[in-house]
Amino acid sequence: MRIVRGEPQLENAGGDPLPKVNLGPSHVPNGAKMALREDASIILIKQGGLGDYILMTPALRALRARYPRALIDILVSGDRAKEFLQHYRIFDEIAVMPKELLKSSAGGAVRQGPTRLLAVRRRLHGKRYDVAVSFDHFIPEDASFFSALMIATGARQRVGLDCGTTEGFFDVSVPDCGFGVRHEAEYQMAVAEVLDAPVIDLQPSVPIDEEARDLARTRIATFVGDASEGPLIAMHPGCFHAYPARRWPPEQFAATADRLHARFGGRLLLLGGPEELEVRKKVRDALHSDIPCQILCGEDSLLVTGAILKECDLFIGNDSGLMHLAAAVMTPTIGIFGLSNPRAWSPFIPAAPARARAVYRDLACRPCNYVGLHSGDQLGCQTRDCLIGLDVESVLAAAHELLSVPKGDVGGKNS
Amino acid sequence: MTHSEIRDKMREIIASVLDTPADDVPDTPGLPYQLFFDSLSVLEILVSMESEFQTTLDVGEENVLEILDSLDSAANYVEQRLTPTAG
Repeated sequence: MRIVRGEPQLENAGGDPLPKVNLGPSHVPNGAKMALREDASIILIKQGGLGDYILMTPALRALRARYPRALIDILVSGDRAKEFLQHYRIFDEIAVMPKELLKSSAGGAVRQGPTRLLAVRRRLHGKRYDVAVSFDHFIPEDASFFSALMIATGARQRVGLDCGTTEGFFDVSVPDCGFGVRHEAEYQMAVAEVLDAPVIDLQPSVPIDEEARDLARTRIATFVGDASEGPLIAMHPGCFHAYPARRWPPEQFAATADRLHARFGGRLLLLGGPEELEVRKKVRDALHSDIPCQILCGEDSLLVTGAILKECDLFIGNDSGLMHLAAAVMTPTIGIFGLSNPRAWSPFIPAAPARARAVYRDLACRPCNYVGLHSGDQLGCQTRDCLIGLDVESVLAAAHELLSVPKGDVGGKNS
Repeated sequence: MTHSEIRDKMREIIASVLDTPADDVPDTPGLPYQLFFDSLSVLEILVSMESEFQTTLDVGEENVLEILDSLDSAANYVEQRLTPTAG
């Protein structure tokens, strides 16, 4: 079945319609593609967070479908990514190379950098790859680092996103026009397509198995409150620890939950990692209504968390991996954006685009993260008007839309 | 491989990495400074050496530039890596 490309719904605080992100056909420069041998050896490289890997899944599935007999390894930046990706059964090997180690190596002293980067080859057991495929943006501040990473794999050919910082470095490339010109998922799919791997199914996915589903239902079955009275609403008031500036105030999350409960009833589920427990408690403590509220401890695997999200009627969260996880299981998802770029990372549900919303304030200064060819300041400014000033009404408007549509009208609940 | 063959192969590797004619790679010491090695080119040379000579380089920051100082020093190092140890 061919999935029709959809468009995410972007709304600003004023409720004015915004130009929709163009999710048109992938762009391949001059039609140049690289078709590999069926038994090719391929190393994929992505240094990112959970959300980045989730958004890659359509491209990854396409690559494996196109090259079923190829050796496909991937180099990722952390153990959590490895643990998550191994469930997809796409890769022959998943190697972990800590981003911090590499970042301190590349572009550094001539003596130090290269010798540390040889460790990449050790992690890959000295395999000889036909092609290295990078899914990272070679923006000026990162180009040396990502170039070194690709060189260290020893691959004969290189494919990736080219924004002009690395002339002649790639054998075949996808034009990189900067963050936000296309959705990140679209960039990843374009990389797959330049390797002659057409992406038919655009929807990111999570391989939830029966065990994860059973665990999720057990968690929810023990939840206080009457399951028949209103929606199950999940909220993620935290985000990756390196990006504290992306957090909408916990009091605003609580106020949103109170207002939703007043209109729809229902129950509230607060999710996040164990390191975010305090912020979830702040939300719970700020509630004024009697909405049944459960805080999940954060010890569940990502698959179980995904299965829990699949049971929910609505997800509201900051720009984070959990937001992308909710979108991947096709739960109606609202992403709250301040300094980060919704045109690059809005909730992506192409199989049911009406279920996705990105909410943000229409300020001239935002986004200030990941715009064009710059990553920007992850800490944002001191006042953070983009998030502090984002009112509950804006999020409620999006939530009302998503909760007001009968489940069958959005393609069945999270089907 | 003989020392001379390894030396010639090193010349090819360095020329390829630096995108320069092989004849422009001198026989004299001081290659990193004469040919303006940067960290990426050093990395690429080391990776190419591992691939070409099918060996793992035990190279650290304390000796990498000494190993790559000349075609002879690089060839000597590769010879050591390729020579089976007694025992």
